[in-house]
Amino acid sequence: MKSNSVPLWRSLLAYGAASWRLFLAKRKAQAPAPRWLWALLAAGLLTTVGLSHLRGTPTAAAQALGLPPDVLKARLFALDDPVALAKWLNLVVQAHDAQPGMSLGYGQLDYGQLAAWLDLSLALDPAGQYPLMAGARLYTQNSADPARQRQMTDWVASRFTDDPAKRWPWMAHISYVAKTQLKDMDLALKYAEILRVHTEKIPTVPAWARQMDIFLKIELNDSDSAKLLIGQLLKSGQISDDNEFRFLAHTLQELEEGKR
Amino acid sequence: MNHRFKNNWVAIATLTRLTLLESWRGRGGRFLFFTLIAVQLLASFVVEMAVTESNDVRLTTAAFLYRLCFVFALGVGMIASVVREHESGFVYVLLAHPVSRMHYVLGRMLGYAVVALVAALAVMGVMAIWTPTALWGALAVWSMSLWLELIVMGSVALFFALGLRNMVGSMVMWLAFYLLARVLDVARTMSASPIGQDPNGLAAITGQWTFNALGWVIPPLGNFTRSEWLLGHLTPSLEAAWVLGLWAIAYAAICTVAAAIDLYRHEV
Repeated sequence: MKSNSVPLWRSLLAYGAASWRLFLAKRKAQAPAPRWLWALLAAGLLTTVGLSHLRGTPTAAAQALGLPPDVLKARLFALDDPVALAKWLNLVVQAHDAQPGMSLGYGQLDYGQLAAWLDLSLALDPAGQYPLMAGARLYTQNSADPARQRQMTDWVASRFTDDPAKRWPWMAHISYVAKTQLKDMDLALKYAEILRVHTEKIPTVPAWARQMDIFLKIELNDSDSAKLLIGQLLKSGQISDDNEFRFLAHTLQELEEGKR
Repeated sequence: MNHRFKNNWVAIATLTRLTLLESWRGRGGRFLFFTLIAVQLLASFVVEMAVTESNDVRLTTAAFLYRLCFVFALGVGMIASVVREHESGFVYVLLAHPVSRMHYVLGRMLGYAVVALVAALAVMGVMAIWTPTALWGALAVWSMSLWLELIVMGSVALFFALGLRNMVGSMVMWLAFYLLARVLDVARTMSASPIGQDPNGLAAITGQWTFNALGWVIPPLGNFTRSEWLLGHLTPSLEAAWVLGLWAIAYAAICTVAAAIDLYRHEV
């Protein structure tokens, strides 16, 4: 049996057309706008097109990060919610190398300004680890030249002493960066020594981090210093773990026997 | 005496219920629901950019946005409804009944406090999903602080709306008050140690006196509802929490009473 019902698409089309007619009818029912208003609208549109043409196509240009405001101004800006601002600052600074239309290498960034922003973030949120992580891991990558990498590792080292118990992982990391990326064993040793001096009485810092400089000295064939440090460590009574004590004693014995 | 108390209570309870009904019919429930979701979506987007401390970024972003959204939404709601009632003449119909002006002010404020409590509890419920269990106590303190901040700003909105009876004027004054209250401590610190100014000069001393005077009359809202509490650091001590709580309740009472006094002064 043939159905006489209207197809759905025709109903929808008829409904759409009726709505459009109603819309136009409503518009027609209003008083027509004066012709000079239409002329003004057209002139405005033409002016916009002309101005856009005069301005030309925007080109991508690297924007400098600039220097940050001081802590109090930053707190004013954040309605005195410094930690929330610090968390956002970390993301904004981290994303600075990706600008509209271009991607900057770390070698193109001003590391002085970068360090100032990281400092601001730390001042707003001293317990935050993000700026130190960014300093130790992101900004020491190979797309930055060695001078910039060195600037950033020095910055991390200078901020480590403010809170060694929480910031030791970043100090250990920059020591590793100095050794493997910068190939500067003296610098790596310097960082490792700072790490040991500031953490040897903090039990929460793992032994491998506290004893990093000993093994760097062994690598540098400075076995006398290494023996001295291990000897002091064993005598100090700071090592409570039996396995660790045994391992260090064994290392000391090997050094004395000239096996390492 | 008992009968009088009962009459008073019935009037206040009715007006409180009216405020709640108005909030519900003004799509307050839907606004709350969509805000809870929208802020979390936005926080999720921000978290995607973080390399580390992702949960900290989520908690602080959501905390900041929830506080801002609800302070503004509830404050604007209070001002809009009070101004509308005056412009439409509904308040005169109310006052033609056995309802005093104090009843009207208290009913409005209590209804608003219940709406603020629902908002604070809903935010606490959502934030609990991402807050570590060990920090649920800090979350409870933060949510309580959010409720108190909402109550203070609601009472200030009521005061300006009843005093000015004008949407734009009340909004501007209320907004200026909020910004000043949030940054008051920073402004006082800056004025106490001016940079590039002679600390003994007239401008510096006037600035110090002005901000110190403002410190006497404006509560330091910058100390309320701080995001870092949710990360487990710098949670206020019990004593500090009591001081802030009492301060907020006292200030809300001051604004409510001042609004009632102002309403009594107005010719109806």
